[in-house]
Amino acid sequence: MKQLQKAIYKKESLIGLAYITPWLIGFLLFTLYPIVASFYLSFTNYDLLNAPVFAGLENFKRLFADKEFLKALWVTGKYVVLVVPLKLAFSLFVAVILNMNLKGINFFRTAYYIPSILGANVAIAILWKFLFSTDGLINQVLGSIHLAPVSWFGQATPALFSIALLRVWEFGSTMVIFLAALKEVPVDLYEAAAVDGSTKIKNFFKITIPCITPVIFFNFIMQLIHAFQEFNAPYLITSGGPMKGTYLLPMLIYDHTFKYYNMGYASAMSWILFLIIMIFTLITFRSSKYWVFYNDNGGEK
Amino acid sequence: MKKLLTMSLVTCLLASSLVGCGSAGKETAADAKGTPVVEKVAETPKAEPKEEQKAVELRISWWGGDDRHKPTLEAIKKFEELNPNIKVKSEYGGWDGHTEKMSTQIAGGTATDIIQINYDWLSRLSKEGAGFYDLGKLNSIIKLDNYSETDLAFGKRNNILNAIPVSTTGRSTYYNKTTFDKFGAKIPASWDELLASAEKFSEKGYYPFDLDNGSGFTTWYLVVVYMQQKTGRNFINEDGSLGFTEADIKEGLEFYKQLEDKKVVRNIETKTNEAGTTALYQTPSWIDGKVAGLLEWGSSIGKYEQPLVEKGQELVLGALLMLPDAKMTGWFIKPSMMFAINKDTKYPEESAKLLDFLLNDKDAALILGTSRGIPSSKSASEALTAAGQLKGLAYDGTNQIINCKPTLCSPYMEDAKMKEIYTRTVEAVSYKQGTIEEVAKTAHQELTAQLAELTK
Repeated sequence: MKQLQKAIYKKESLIGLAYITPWLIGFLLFTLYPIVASFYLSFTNYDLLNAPVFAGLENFKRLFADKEFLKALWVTGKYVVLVVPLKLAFSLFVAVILNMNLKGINFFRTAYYIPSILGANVAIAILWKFLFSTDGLINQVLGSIHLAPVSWFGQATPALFSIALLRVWEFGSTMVIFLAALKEVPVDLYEAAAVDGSTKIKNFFKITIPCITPVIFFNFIMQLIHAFQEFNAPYLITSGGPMKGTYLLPMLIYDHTFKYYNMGYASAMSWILFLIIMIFTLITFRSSKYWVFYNDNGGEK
Repeated sequence: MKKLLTMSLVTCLLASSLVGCGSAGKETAADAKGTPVVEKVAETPKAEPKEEQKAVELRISWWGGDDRHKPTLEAIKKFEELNPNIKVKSEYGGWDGHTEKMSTQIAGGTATDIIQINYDWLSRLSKEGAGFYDLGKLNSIIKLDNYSETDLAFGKRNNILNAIPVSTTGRSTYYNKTTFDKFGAKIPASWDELLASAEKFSEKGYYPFDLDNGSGFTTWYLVVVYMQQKTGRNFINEDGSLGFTEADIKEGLEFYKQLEDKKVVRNIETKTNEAGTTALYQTPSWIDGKVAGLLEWGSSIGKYEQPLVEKGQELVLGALLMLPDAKMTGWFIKPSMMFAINKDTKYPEESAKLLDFLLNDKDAALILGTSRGIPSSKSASEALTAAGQLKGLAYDGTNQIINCKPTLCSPYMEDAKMKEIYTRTVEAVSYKQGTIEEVAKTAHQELTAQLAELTK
């Protein structure tokens, strides 16, 4: 009997394996192999045309003395600090509004999701360039409310802001996840608060936010990881921006690989980026037990 | 039964997803059996050693603007008509990002059979001369006697012919005559006149000239030309060492600062604000004539002229700016672009035929016109002269450079890291990051270091 069970189990697991084979092949070829290869390459000097030459820790040592790398790191840090809170706050705000049960609210939910589908492709980047140009729409709107036009691409900070804005504009998926979480908040909590005479704002901060902290946690991690890897927007819109003000780390990696033929050096840089993202993710995970409230355990601070 | 059906359907679905993973677009050559044996037209040279026509597909890549893409596609179509067994797939686009794309393809072994390459790629991609197919081996198909020894020398590495220059070119000044006439201004004929040219323009927010500080590095180019004339020193010597001193760089940057201060050109902040990194010929400032001059290669002036002509404006060639006591001409000449054959190509003879057609064939020359400058090939330029087509801005600009005793542009001048240094330096001046003296000092150090790296 046990033999039969074992046989069936083996057969089922083989079938399961067969079903995921396409994905498995893709994963091995396009994800695992490049990761291992780039780890190996980060210890070599490789100019794409000749075979890699082993160079030990030289790349890493060079990295920390490289002004360009440190500047890119700093700019990336600024970008992440700008984008992640902005995106989370904005999508939460829109999710709260869309949570209201008004007539035709479904139409708005769809409409607000559309920017995410469009994505940061070349067409949107070109649109963004013309939106933020000196006589573009944004400056015209600012002018109509009597504000001075901003030098969006000419100065580093506004340029970084305009790129961050592109990412924030694609808040759709984050918003939808927040919306789902908002619907999970038990209604009786609100009723109990109403009995105690609580205001809507107090409700929001004392009931809603604590109840959706798991989702905030999830969105935060996802957005953090994506923000560190931002490439499309600065590459297409500002090309690294005025005085390298929007020159994010992934762009530096790209330039070193394809423009300067230092693939080993670029691989070392990407592993440092990986370590940074991992450290931030770990910090967030460790701290989560203090501020994330799950319905099943009572682990809140 | 139901379970079997479900299983088989799901397996089919999975199998089809695997098919999707395969390499896209591997079009096999057209049915060889169906191709009839065609008599070759007299133009294409020498007998094919094979009896039956082998169906061949070639890939060719080039960069340029629309004014180059259209005639090139037409010429390729003509070639396909004359060689029915050869199908050509064209891959083309603008200049921005093209170098990176090509280098990746070449390094990854997926480059096209015929590649349009830039002069500075040779020193990097073919250090020992083995980076591209040895065209000397194909000299029965490619009529190399159409080129002078100097021209061919451009394409040789280690005495192996890697590529053939299509034309030679240099940057000249061009001006939007319509805008200049509107203000009643004179087209600048000397450096001083250039500095003073913004007088009538600036009050209306127009600019008489433009310098790109990015992928085109025209700012640095102009500054170098000016200083080469002033000092008689080459920017980069023939052996690859830096010829300019720190003081030279400082003076050149001060000259650029003057251009900005006198509103001859927009400062970098204003220019970037308009449309980020969009190329000048695609911006409203150029198309509407608000920016009325530029420094551009004779071989690619077409892409700037076309949008102006469409709006009824006229672009003219400006005089070559010279200092009255210039110690050398200073203006550069270089091979505008070259054609090479992929060293791993499966069809060297057919690729050579296409190459020879595009470079030397008389009909092709008439179709291509001056979209790649004035052809260096004797037979092509003769065909153009006979048809009276050797005219227009590309012709005038190139002639202006060829006849002025130009300086040979060093292949290291366009290296990516060098361009990065030029961009940083000019940006530092425009954004006032430090004194010009400090900026010049840093630039001198970085340029020396990078040149040492390149000539190692």
